[in-house]
Order: sequence, then structure tokens, then C-alpha cells
Amino acid sequence: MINYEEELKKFHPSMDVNEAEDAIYSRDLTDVTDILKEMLQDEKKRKK
Amino acid sequence: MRCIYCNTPLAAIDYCPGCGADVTLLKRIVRISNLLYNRGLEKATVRDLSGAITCLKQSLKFHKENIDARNLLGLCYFETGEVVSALCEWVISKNLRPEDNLADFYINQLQSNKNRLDAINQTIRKYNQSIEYCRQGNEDMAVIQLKKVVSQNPKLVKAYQLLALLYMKHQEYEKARRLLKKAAGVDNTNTTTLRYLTEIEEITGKTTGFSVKRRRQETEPEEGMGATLRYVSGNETIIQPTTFRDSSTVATFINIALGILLGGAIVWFLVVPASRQAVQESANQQVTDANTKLASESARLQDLQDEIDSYSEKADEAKQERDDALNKAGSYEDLLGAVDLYVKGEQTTAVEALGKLDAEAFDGNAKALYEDLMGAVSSAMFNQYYSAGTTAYVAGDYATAAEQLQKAVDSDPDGTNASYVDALAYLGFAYYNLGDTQNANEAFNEIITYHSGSSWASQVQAYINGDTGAQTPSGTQGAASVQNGQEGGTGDDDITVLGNGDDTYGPYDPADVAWTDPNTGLNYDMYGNPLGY
Repeated sequence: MINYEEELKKFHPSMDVNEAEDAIYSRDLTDVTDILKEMLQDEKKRKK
Repeated sequence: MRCIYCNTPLAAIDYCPGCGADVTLLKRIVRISNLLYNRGLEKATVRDLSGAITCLKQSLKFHKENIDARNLLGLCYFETGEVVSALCEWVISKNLRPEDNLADFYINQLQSNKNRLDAINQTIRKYNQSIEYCRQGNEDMAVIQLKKVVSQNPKLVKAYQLLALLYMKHQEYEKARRLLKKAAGVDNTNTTTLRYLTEIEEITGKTTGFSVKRRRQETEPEEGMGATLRYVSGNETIIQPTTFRDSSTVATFINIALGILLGGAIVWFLVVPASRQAVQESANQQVTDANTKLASESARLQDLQDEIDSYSEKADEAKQERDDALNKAGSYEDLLGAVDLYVKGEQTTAVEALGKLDAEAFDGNAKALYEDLMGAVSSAMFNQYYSAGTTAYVAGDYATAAEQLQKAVDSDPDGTNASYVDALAYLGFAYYNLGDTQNANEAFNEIITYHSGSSWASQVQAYINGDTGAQTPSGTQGAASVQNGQEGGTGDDDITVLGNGDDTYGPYDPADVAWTDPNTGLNYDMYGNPLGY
């Protein structure tokens, strides 16, 4: 049985066109490659 | 792809051509990203947009520079109504690869059509507002807003789902089913859509038939050509036209120009005649008012002129009255002067003064005074006129004699004076000698009628009517002669002046006394001869 209130909580407001700029700047574009890079740098630092 | 150690572009081999590092892992990561991209593409092809979005997100998590995955992800977002999310992905894609990027085309498509972007933005805001209404409990308003949203942005799956949820809450399951079917047409594996549909099927016991009708979304009137939204509400089929219209700039200007022309035509044919008529009516009314005013002023002017005329008449009457009053005062003054003369004993002068007065000018006591004075001096007047008349008669001046004797007769209208009859006789003879037989006859007839006992009555009988046939003793046919100093007479037909030639006078017959001079007391006969002297 669907609970109206619970389902309603799952609906979030969509982004406005004016919010696009902030959304782009705040986007986290870290991928696995970036993680590998960080891991390698950490390893290097640890070895040093 | 570049080497993570030295940033050298990698080749097909498993080690970096720059630093010689082992790049197997990097290549595997890229292969996984591509694999996920391929899965996402397959899902997107069959309209499993939710699944495609999931795969593509994972693909980008492995390799953020997978431009194709990012572009496809943006496309999937756009197709589900998440325009801003799509725009974000395309912008990031363009930044990662500025040249030869499909994202460029997608961004230009969006930005070139500003109206469409604004309309979509409006639908997003209305959707957000609907969520607020639902959270506030204002579900009716939320329903209204969501209906507008789905009509203006038929790809916003979340709007369908929220509206369906509201219908389900109000137990309008069929409406919810229809909306969810439309949502499934956009994204057919959306978990939320499928869950709601399952719930409806469980409640209603009726399965939902998914007849996949591939409506050609491309031909839908995104350019504002009058697409309609059909849905069934109860027993009614609602056909709602899509209100979103998109028109180019040229069409806008043409519409504006047509609107201006139409408005001008309406003003020219409807407003201008009415205003002209109103102006003409106003002018006519002013002319009428002016004419009315002119007429009233003319009438007023006429009234004033009449008033002036009446005042002029009154002034003339007043002037006449004043003149009459002055004349009357003058007459009164003269009357008093005559009275004064009479009191002083100057009867002759008083008679003359009275003779100049007009009896009609007096009234009341003045008239009584005048009449009394006239009565007192009438005898003197009579004697004066009688003396003058007979003197003139003796001298042969018959005209003067007639005038004076007439005054003498008029001064004694009652005939009380002793010489009245004599005066009448002399008067008649004077007229007779003048040839005025009419007046002569009047005098003679008066003697005969009223003084028949007088001696004159028989004498004048022959002279009545101027009978030229009357015999006159002197032979002068009808002429009376006055002979001074000759005695005797030729008979009754002649009037002779008796008397002797010398200066001594013998005794006389009192009956011969014609008048007595009041001043000297001498007696004269009718011929003017003194008697007894």
C-alpha cells in the first residue's frame, strides 16, 4: 500500500535555469581515474 | 586518454609511450566506462531512460571524460523533462572537449529558442510550487498547477507521477492510471511509475495494457502548431489544446503589425464616426442654445424697448401735464389779475383781461370765480363790445362791427342786457352788408323768435334769407345804408341814421337808446349818435 506522505517525501524540486550555474560549479567530477591519482600520490608521499 | 603519471596521450599499447608506466588499469577503467555507456545507450534506445541514466552515471564515474556518455546522459535528462540537468551535462561536456562536440549543437538548440526555454522554466517552477502546495495540504491547487505543467511540458515524468499520486490519494485511480501510462510512454521502466501502476492494478483489479504507440514526438507541435492534450475525466473526454506556443520573431512582428492594423481599422470605423457624431451633436446643441439665447435676448430687448417707449409716453404725458399745469397756473394768475383789476374798479381793463381767458382752463372755485366775475363784468363787456361794434358799423367797417357785436352777443348769452336785441339787430345788418346771409338770418331769426315783441322784429323780417327781392326804401337792393346827419328815413326797408345837421341835440325817445357809455354816461342810439345832447 502506497503511503502518500512517504511518497511525497521522495519528490524533490527540480533545478531552475537560474540554478544551473551554481549546479555546474558545485558538481563533483571526480571519477575513478582521479581516485587512482590520489592513491598514487598518497603512496608516493607515504614512501617518502 | 592521457597517462596519469606524465599526462602523455596513450596509444593502443598497455604502457605509456612517455614514461613507460603500466597503464593497463587505466585502460580497463576506460573499457568499463565504455561498457556502461553501451548499456546506457541500449536502454535509452528502448526508452528505458531511468536505466540509461543509471548506467551513464556509472560510466561517468569511471571516466568523467567519456564525452559520449555525458552527452547521452544529458539527452536522457532532457527527454525526462530535466532540462537544467541536461544543460549542466552539456556545458561540462563542452568544457571538457570544446572542439567537435555534439553538446555544442544541443546547447545552441536550447539557447536559440529563448521562448521555449522560458516556457520550460515556467513549468519547472510550477512543478516546484505544486510540491509546496502538497506539503502545505493545498492539494487542489497542486492538482491545478500540475495539470498545467503536464500540458505545457509533456515530458516531465515527475509531474505525471506526482499528479497520479494525488489522484490515487483521492481514489481517482483511472485518472492516475492514464497519467502513469503517459509517463511510461516517456520512461517505460521508471520504478516509481511501475510501482504506482502496480498499486492501481492491485486496488482496481484491472491490469494496465501498455499499447506502445510510438507517437512521433518530433512532429508534436513543439513549435506551437496547436497540439492537444486528451484525457478522460469521469464520463467526459477533455481535449485541451497545448497552450505552449512558439513563434519566431518575424511571426511576432507580423502579428503585431496585423494587430495594429486591425486596431486602427476598428478605431477608424467605429470610434471616429461616433466621436464625429458626438462633436456634431455638441455643435448643433451649441447652435441651438445660441439661437435660443438670441431669441430670448431679442424678446428681452423688445420688452426693454417697449418699456422705454412707455416711459417716454409717460414722460411726454408728464411734460404735457406740466405744461397744462403751467398754463393753468398762468390762467389762474391772469384770472387773479382780472379780479384785481375789477376790484380796483378798472372794469374795462378787467373785461379785456377776462376776454383773453379761456373758461375751460378753470375748475372748482376758480371756475366759480371766473363765472362770477364774468357775470359781474359781462354787462361792461357787453357794453364795450357793443360800443365798439356800433362805432365800427357807423364807420362802415362791417367786418369789425360784426366781430365786436358778435362778442357782445356772446358775452351775454342770456340776453339780459337792455341793448341785447339792438346788438343782435346790428349784428344781423353787419352780416347782411357783408353778404353773409346765413349769419344774418340767424341773428334776424333770433330776434323774431325770442324777441318778437321788440320793434326790431318787424324791421328785420324783410332781410331774412337775404332776399334780394326785398324792397329797400333807399333803392339799394338789399343794402343798408348809414347816413350820418340826414334826417328821415325812407321807410322800414332802409336803415337810416337819424339826426339833424347841426350840433344841438333835441329830446329823444328813451327807446332809441342803444347803449350808454359807462365812462361818460352818454346815451347813443343804434347808429352811434348821441342822444339828448
